[in-house]
Amino acid sequence: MAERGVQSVVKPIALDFLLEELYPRSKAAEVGLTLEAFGRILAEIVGKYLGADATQNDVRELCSGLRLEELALARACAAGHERGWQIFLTRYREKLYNIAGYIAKESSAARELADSLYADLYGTTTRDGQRLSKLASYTGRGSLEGWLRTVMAQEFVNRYRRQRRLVSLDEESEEGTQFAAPSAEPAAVVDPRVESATDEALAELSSEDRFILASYYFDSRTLAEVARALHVHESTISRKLNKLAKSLRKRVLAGLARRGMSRRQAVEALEVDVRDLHLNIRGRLVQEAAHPPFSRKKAEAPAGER
Amino acid sequence: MTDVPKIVAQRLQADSRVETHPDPNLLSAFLENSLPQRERAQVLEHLAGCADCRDVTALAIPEHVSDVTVVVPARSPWLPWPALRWGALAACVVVVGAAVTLRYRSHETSTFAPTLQAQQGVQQSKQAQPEAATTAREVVTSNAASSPPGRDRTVAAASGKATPGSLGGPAAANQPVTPEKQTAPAELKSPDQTAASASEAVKPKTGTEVAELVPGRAKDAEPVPQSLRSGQAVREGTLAKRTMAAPMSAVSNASPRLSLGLAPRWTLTSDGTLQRSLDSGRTWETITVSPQARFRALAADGMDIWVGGAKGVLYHSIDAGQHWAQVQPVAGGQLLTADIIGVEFTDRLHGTLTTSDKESWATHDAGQTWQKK
Repeated sequence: MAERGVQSVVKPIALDFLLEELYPRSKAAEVGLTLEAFGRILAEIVGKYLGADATQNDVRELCSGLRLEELALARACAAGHERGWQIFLTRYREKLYNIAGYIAKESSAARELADSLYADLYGTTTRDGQRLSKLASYTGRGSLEGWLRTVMAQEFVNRYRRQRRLVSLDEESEEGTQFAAPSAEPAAVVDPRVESATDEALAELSSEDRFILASYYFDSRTLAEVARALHVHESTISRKLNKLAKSLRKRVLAGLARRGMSRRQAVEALEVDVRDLHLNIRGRLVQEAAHPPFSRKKAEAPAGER
Repeated sequence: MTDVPKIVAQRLQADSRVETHPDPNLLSAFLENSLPQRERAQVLEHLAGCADCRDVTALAIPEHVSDVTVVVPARSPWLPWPALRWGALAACVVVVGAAVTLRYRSHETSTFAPTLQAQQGVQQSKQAQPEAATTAREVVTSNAASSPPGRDRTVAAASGKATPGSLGGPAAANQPVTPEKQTAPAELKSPDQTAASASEAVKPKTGTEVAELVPGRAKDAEPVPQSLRSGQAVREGTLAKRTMAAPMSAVSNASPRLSLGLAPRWTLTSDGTLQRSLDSGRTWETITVSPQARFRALAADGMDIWVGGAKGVLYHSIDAGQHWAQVQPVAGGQLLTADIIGVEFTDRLHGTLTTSDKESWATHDAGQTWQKK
């Protein structure tokens, strides 16, 4: 989804009319935002989410669905208004730490995460003398609390990925990495017909179905987690997954048949993963050796390892 | 669960889209189900192929979905033109009105056909379990302005038993019961006229609240003694004290649009005032629950809404804010007095309160009993 630049494509009069209605609702005056400042904020948001062909109706619909009060509060904080910060701290400071605790699980990591985000929200970095606050990017499409959760989750994911790349050398030698035997066998090649039939079957699915499959089978999310993301009941996801798994198998088999495989060949191709066979042989070799040259953990590495 | 072939999981991984990721505004709006259909589809398309963004959304989902303010789902593509939408609504109103009028004329008695909320009350009463250990739950509406002077009303007794002068016992415990001669609009009338007529005289109160201990039962808890009805704390088990909210709030919060089944939206202002919208956020009205209360958290699910705030103030409504009952959670003899900063309800029965003291109070029976974690 491409980011859109700020475009003032809607005639000013449309926003002026909306401003009369939306400014009082947002209570922006109470947090120190003027009508003009609020109008600029709305114009920026309209330009970000609507294209050049947006109608007045589109603009009204977008603006009416915004969390106006939270938007005014966030932008007032970003602009450094003291009253806004008082309200923000009262309502969200405790929540920030609770959210961090839920995301990071471990208390010291949670505190560090929350403090780091708080600093970003406050705007400890400056550019051209202007304080840069992350709150300036909040657009009110969702709740401010939900936005804080998402920003914190993003920060946590980025940190975790950075830490995973920085692996301790001591840990590596304990694992026996330096003694790992070079892999002499070439990587197993999956039949390209199986890959293309699978791609074709997946492409026919809706994005929601692919999201459910990826979340459950690839990300190992629970049914409850997938259900919460889509605002449905857990049993709905369970039924859908069963249905998807069965229909995918049928479609892949049909695709393989179209590519010239017999029924038996197609079923075998799906039942047996060549990489599993490859690893099983290595596992048997490790068991037969008196002193295995590398750790069993390496030999039983997951199928995804290359 | 049926497994997919391993090749599918592998190709799902390979199906990543290298493109700009949606910003946190869109991701959070997606998780709150407040994006229009078109944008929701775009975000889903991206999430289907981007493991990073799926990780972020999985972490950003609150533990309980109702942790955030409930919003009406994205607009349906049906009837996109406002004129057509309002015209359809007007036609429905005319049809319903004609049906109701014809039905009314066909009856010999003057009983009016039940409203939507009364039907819900009937359904709730059918679901009530007449166990001795269950809590008699009451939502009593009253209108101080319209109730005749000099009438007393005794609120139904505790322990699920019907006592003389009570409002019908457990079976009728969940029904909203009103005194006769109610004049307020959208007031609920109990289908069980026997329960209403069996009530004692209403005791006029100078204040606007009638407090009644509604004993909940912890597992294997001893029976609640009579003395507890005076408001004393119990030595064990968990109790929820229910207080009827100010009658004025019942009148001012009634809205004919609620009877049409429109799902409300809720929000809290910066000064802790509760607001409701019945038109997808176009207009908002302030809901007066209690003049002194300043709320900090809410959870809503359909017509059911909970709001919590400073000093343990907690209110519950089952009819989208038309009537409120104050709930005072008690666990192990301790009353909740800390500020409530989080309210989460996964469904009508199961919920959790988070306080400023980092305490967690859970209920599994819609607030009748509480456990402190």
